[in-house]
Amino acid sequence: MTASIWRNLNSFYNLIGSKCRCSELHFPEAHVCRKCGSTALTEHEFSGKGKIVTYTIIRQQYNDETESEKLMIGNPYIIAIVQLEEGPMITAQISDANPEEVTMGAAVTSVFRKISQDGEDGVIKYGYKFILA
Amino acid sequence: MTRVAIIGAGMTAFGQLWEKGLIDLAVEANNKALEDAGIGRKQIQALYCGNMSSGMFTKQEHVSSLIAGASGLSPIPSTRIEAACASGSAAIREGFLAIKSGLYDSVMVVGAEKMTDVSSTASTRILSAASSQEFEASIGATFPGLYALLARLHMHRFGTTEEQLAGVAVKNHMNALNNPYAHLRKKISVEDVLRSQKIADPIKLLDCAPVSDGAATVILASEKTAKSLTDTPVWIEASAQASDTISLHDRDDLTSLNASAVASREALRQARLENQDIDCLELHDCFTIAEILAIEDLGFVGKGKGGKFVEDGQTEIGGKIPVNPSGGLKAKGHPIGASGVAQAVESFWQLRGEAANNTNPARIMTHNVGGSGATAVVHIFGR
Repeated sequence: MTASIWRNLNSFYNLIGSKCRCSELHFPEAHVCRKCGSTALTEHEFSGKGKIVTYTIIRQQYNDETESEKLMIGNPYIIAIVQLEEGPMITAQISDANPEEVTMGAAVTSVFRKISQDGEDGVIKYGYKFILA
Repeated sequence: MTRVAIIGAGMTAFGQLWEKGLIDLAVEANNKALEDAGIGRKQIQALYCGNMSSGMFTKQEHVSSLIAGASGLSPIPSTRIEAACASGSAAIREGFLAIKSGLYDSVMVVGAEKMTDVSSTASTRILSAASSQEFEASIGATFPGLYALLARLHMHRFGTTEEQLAGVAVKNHMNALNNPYAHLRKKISVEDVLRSQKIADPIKLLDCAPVSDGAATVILASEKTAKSLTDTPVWIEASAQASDTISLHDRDDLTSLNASAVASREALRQARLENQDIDCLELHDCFTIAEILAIEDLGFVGKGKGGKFVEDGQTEIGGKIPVNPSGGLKAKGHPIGASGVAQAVESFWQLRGEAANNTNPARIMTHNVGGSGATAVVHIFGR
């Protein structure tokens, strides 16, 4: 688990994606530009500002008792697709809000939070969540 | 190039089948199909197995050869095809291509999944492996959650209602009442759906296909072999497959599954047909919103008009285009790898007049989606 978190630290910690020479932006980092097919991509850090395109409230139990890696969440929790102000969309939890406060099109901003923990003494994965702006 | 026919079909009942393992299910379906086709085991030249996740559901990989051996088919080549929930149709497509190429005259395609040996929480997590582990599942997006994101946007943009979504479930449960193979043979009302447990708003328990065990098998043959064995072959008139980004958030349009639209257009082109030439649909209704998206994406109703189309009864048996007369994934059941093959089995029975709810079609389109639309497979079958 550790290496798979470490590989994506850029994306999870700093909202870093890719910018193509054709100016198309991607999140997370892309290998090939979806627009022009170029592999000439450079790092691009997103502002973390965006708006909710669509959302849902997850009410199922997510973690099985047999799993060591558990999401650091309450139940229910909110999952949204957020469109970043620069264009790309991102799937993320909406934190610090009651479900009834969330609306389509609401402005949100990214925050740095605990995402999951691999066992009681295990590695904690940090990353982006969003809060209502 | 030869035409390709289905010459025999068989399936297990779908449901929570505690007494049967993956191999029991696959062999049962295979034996029924062999008997139905009147073909000997020695004439089967290759086996294609649709299965999504035997490793995570039962800790058994390499099920292709395991099924071949248990079915008395070794030493023929046997290959497992995985494309999430579209594994079954993708396996049919591989069998179709193998016969089309001229390499084989008769092959078997089986789809099978054993899902109920794990808890419902575990099966939710296993199914989430069909989405992006890194950027969807790992942050808490479940599969019903992903379809809920699509549903809410469709409702927001087009005015689709929760009652219209519920109407899909009510209709498919009604169709499954007559189907002896169906998992959920129980009549439900719109109110039942609306009052059922919330899973991922606006998706409720009765908007979801069940977690099922089951297997389905078809035997495919070249035109020459088919005509030597049966007077009533069912022809595969088109086989099309398309892909899309695995994550919803990487797509341009979240009110449509583009892979479905691309595969449908390609299938109609191959068969030289128009939408109006299709008499019946067996399509991928893993959630009720998926059926509404599908009738739009496949071109049977305009964008955003699917909810009203369902509400007006146009997808019922006797409507403009009957959709899922078998009960669909929603009520017939959804043993992941088996579902696509079961759609072909239903089509075979419909076209031979042997289906539980006979709609007497001349042509059927099937539509099988992997994940949240990263794979779509469309077939057209005809008499």
